[in-house]
Amino acid sequence: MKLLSRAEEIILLTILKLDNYAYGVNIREQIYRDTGDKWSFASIYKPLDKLNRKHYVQKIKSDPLPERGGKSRFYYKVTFEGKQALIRLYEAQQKIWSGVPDIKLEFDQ
Amino acid sequence: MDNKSLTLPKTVDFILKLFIKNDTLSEWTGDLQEIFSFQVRERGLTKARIWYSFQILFILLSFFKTQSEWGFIMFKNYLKVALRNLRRQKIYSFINVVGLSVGMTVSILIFLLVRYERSYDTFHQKAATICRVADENYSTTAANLGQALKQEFPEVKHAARVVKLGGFLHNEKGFFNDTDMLCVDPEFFNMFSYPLITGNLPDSLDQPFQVLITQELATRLFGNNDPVGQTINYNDRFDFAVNGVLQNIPENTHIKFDMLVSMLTYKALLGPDLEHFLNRWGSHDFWTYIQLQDNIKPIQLEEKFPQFETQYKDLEKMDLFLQPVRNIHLSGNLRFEMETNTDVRNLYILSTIAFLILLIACFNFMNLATAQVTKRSKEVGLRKVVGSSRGQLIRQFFGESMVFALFALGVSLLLVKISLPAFNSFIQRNLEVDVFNDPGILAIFLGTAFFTGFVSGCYPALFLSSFQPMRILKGDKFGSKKSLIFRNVLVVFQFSITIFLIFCSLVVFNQLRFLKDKSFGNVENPIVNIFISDAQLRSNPRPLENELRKNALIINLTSSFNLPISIPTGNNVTWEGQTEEEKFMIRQTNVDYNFTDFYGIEIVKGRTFNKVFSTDRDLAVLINETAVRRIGWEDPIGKRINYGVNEGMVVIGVIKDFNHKPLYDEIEPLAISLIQDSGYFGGVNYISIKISADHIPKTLEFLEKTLKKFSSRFPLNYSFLDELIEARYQTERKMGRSITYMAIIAVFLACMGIFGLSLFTVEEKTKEIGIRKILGATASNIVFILSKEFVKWVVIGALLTFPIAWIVMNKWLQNFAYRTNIGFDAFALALALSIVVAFLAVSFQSIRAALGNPINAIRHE
Repeated sequence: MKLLSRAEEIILLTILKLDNYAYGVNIREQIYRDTGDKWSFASIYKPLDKLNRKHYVQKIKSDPLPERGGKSRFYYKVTFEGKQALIRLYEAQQKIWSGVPDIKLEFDQ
Repeated sequence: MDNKSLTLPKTVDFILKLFIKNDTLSEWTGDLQEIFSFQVRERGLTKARIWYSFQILFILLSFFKTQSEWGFIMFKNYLKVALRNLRRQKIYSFINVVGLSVGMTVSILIFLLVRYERSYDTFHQKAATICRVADENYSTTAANLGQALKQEFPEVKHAARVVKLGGFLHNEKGFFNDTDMLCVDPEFFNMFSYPLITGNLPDSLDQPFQVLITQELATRLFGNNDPVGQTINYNDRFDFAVNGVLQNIPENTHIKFDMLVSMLTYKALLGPDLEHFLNRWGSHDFWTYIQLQDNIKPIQLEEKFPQFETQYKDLEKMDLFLQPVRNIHLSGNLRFEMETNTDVRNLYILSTIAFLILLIACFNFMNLATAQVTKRSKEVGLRKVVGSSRGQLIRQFFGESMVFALFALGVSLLLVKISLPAFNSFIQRNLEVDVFNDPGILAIFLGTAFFTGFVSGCYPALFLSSFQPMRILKGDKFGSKKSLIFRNVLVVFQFSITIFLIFCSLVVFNQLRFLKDKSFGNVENPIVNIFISDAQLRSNPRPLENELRKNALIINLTSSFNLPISIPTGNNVTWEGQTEEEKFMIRQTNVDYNFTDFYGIEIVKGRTFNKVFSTDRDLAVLINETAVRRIGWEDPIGKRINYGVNEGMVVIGVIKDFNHKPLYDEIEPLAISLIQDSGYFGGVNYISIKISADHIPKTLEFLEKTLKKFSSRFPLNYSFLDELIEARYQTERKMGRSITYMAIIAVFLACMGIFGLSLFTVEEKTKEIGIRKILGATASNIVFILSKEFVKWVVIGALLTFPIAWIVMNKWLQNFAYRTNIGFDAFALALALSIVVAFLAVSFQSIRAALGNPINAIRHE
């Protein structure tokens, strides 16, 4: 089973953080707050589409909103399979980092 | 900051919607718009808009370029190489781009024209179900047909007649004799979409003498005042009341008018004597339009026509068929068309020529690209050695040609915009080129560019990518036999097309000159025709005529109801002993006593009108040879015929056939009688005056002053007969001119091609030339040797074209009842012209080479 890519992981975690009110704009803002990188919309929509196709997220159409001039937004929610994928990744991460010689010393120098 | 101005241009929107679902598209645009105002604050409005476009672009790219990530990287390399080549080979690149953009501009203009012509009458909501009823080769039918069809066939939902109203308008603002006025039945408005700005359709035309006018006419007649309720005088006889204003009608329609009048008005104008015109069979006076029920195809109704026709065969011989209204403009001209239509076949011809010109441009590109083969061969060899596949090389060279094509597209966009006004005035249309809001136009532009890029790139891509690295590194030459032959074939083809076009334009001009010679009047004594507008003058022109005759500048004078070049009215003619099948339509007009002398119309039998015979006035008629032939009389003198309202007219003479119609048509039977005082055909419309060619301005001044004495209200309205005659052949003249322009462009392109090729050949042959010079060749020898090759190919091309050109031109000449022969001289001229031009193109290079120092040539080892 292939692991999630970095971008996919970050996006899934961000959606969880935003607690079911995640859509293009605030995912991007949250990532900026966390990483300091301004991601382009392309680099968000494409992984989202892939996640959607893998059924790791669910795309929900909201009701028409006034600030969109009557159009609706699409919100994203992490599915159960998505959460499983994240956990798999986390466990793999733990295993990969364990047993690595302590690199903290090198940083101090 | 507002972001309401952030709608994508229509074309972009259209393209995007093709590929992406609407929902996703609105998700992206919605999200982007939410932070658009923030972006505006950060970067400013313009940069924010650019950011917006780029975001959309990147999103698209990320979705559609997943597999070509490497492709993108290679693409950058190819682009770099292509641009490098462009900069290095400036001359070649320039020739290529210019050639391609000229070719593309011409093609694009023609495609735009074709598209416009095909859009005629598509704006009516019910256009798909409206048809015009045509009869054999008449576009008009009998007055009763419309309603008869509606009663007989449930498939017919509506029927309406249309007829043109001639005459002029007159109010305090001035005198208007160029307005188009149509009389229509009330159902006309159910069928066609002509929205009103003010007024109510059902009521607007229910009384006679009420009219609807277009916004344009309203401004002309009444300025800024409200036209509704105002009156305008018609023909110095009746007052029309304006009851409503119509939206200006678009130009792409065959039904053009400034004013709509009801049939009731027409009835009133005809008067009690001629009212029956509106209720009769046996004539072709009205255009009849019908609207079919939805889901009925015209062919279904047409099948039922033969049965219908037999019911009425005693009243009217019919051969009906339906013309869907959107096709009328393209289907050529029947008799009495509302306005001159084009013919689809002309459009096909134009498109083909455009396509050929584009091909010439592409061939140029191909030739030049392959001529640079030696220079690129090292690059190709190296790429192959380093591991490039043939497919990649093919893609590279296609990419290069696409770059050229897109570059040329940019240039041709400019050229199209620049040449549009001239083009519009030439074709007498009003084309608009709005790339951003009209997806069709964008499609035409891009399509042409891609086609050009693809075709031009074909040969170089396939040829260059097939090189084998070993042979290149060994230093083998690549002017191989095959490529040389191919290049020469291309040159032959280019010049064949050019010669063909030159030949065609020569033939067309010959024919036009021939047509001009076969008409009236001559240069020494031009004929001026004055149109009489004043009603009083029309019924009593004698005082004016006498006054005019007094002047020495006036050589001769006559008057008539119609001019001899245009006799539109006709009626069925009957005579004693005539059978049903023999019935035919005869044209008729009324003239003054000396008409035949004035116009030099020969009397073949009998005599012309003579004041001595008092019965001539009401009973005498002259008929032409064709009429006599149709009737079949041995000696027509003294026999009687009836036509229209003229009963028992006695034939006093037979006139020689003359061309009262343009020379496309055979001469029609004609009956001429003397001017009547009253009635619908009463009075005099034209006074024709033969003047001396010297002192024309003085004569015109005199005419104006004299006319003012008798009719102060109306200005002098005159024209020269030879100008009117020339105007009849407008279409042919235009076609001749456009073929000439195309020929010039083809010559230009072919020359550029040869110029470029000769550049290369001369370079190739530098050593050879150097050695020849050392051995004693003179400059002219060298030039001759270099040019000989090319001229040979041009002549071969010409010989191949000759049979095709002959066949095509013969076919075109069939359109004319009177035609010239296609002489060999036209062809010889075309050939000579091409040779001269080709020679000139080569000579520049050859002269340079011939005059150079031979030592320089041999030195470069």
